[in-house]
Amino acid sequence: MLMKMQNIQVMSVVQATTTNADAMPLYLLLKKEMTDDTCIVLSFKDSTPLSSSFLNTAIGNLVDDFGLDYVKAHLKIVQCSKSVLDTLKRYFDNVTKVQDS
Amino acid sequence: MKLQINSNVSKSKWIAFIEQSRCKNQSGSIDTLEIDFSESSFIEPFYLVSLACMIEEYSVNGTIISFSLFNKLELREYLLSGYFLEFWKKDFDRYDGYFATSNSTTLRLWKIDSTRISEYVQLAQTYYETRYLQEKDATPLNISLAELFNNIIEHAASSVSGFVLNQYYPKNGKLKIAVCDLGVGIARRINDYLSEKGEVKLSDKEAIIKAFDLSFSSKSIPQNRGWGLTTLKNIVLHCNGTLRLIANSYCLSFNKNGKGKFGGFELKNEFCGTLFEIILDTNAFDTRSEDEFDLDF
Repeated sequence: MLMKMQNIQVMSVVQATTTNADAMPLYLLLKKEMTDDTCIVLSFKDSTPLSSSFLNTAIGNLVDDFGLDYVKAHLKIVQCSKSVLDTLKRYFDNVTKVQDS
Repeated sequence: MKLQINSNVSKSKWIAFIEQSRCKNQSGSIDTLEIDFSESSFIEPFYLVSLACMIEEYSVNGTIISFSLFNKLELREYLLSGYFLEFWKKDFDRYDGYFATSNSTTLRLWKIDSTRISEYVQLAQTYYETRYLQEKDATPLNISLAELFNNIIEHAASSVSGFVLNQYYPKNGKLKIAVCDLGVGIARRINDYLSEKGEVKLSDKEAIIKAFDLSFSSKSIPQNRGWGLTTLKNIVLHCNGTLRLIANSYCLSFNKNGKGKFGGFELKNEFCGTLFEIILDTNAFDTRSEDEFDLDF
């Protein structure tokens, strides 16, 4: 059976990408979609830089809720600037390192 | 009460001065505080943000603040450009614009407000990109400020929040960030956390170094994962920068040339708070680009 798909534009959901509070609407939306077993195409088009606090709430909480493999299987990250891509790569690398340690 | 400012002293002596000055405020009975700059010729952001925290501590206790500079015209102009001399005036609007200074390389003194930090970091990035950095991407400035501010808001428990000053040096392309709070200090926060867990306490030096460990967090809030200072360190090293951090009884530093190896020294006087000075080389910033990428897991 094909997995459901949902497109989400980060900057349409959040007002900024600096604090834990900024990330909360995105986390709640992603959690809802993942709970429904939906695959999310998450666009970072025109995103401002991502702080570790923002990522902890938006992504780290999902990893705690569903596990890293589930999150990776349900998340397709697209339209990142180079700096946003580097930040996201480093973040997922760190999540993996911590899980493996 | 009058405080004579001498900014020509070492950073450790300055910290001792700040702490001694704070002690005089403990009774809360100081009606007026005159800050006398007549012995100073120039004052660095590192000194100004810690001085601002100390003055703010007096101000919130009801002390009236005034300044004297005598004939220090250059210093006066610099302090005016950062709105330092007006900051504690009764009717001064601290949040009426962030960057309207006559000295455009300096952003005005800003008291860190948790409801405005997203706005501040973005505006700071845009400000320097549009005025000085042309094609460079100032994301490292944005993220550094965000990590420093979140650190204060989530961990410091500072009664005066904190203060920030940013200074750009066009001649060499260096960008200096100074951020100070008067909270518990990073070393003490970590040792309080270790004590709560029944673990052995660390020296202040060891505790501050531990704060840079990937995934070590004092868990002040549940979302904390301990990646903020690691992120900061990566940015400093990537941008050929240096970082100095004073907290409690230790001053830690590292830089790109030393390949990130921690150095530092014990302070003679304990500092109850945390003070960061970060210097980034904007020549090492990436070039801005409209290219877009997807992340492959």
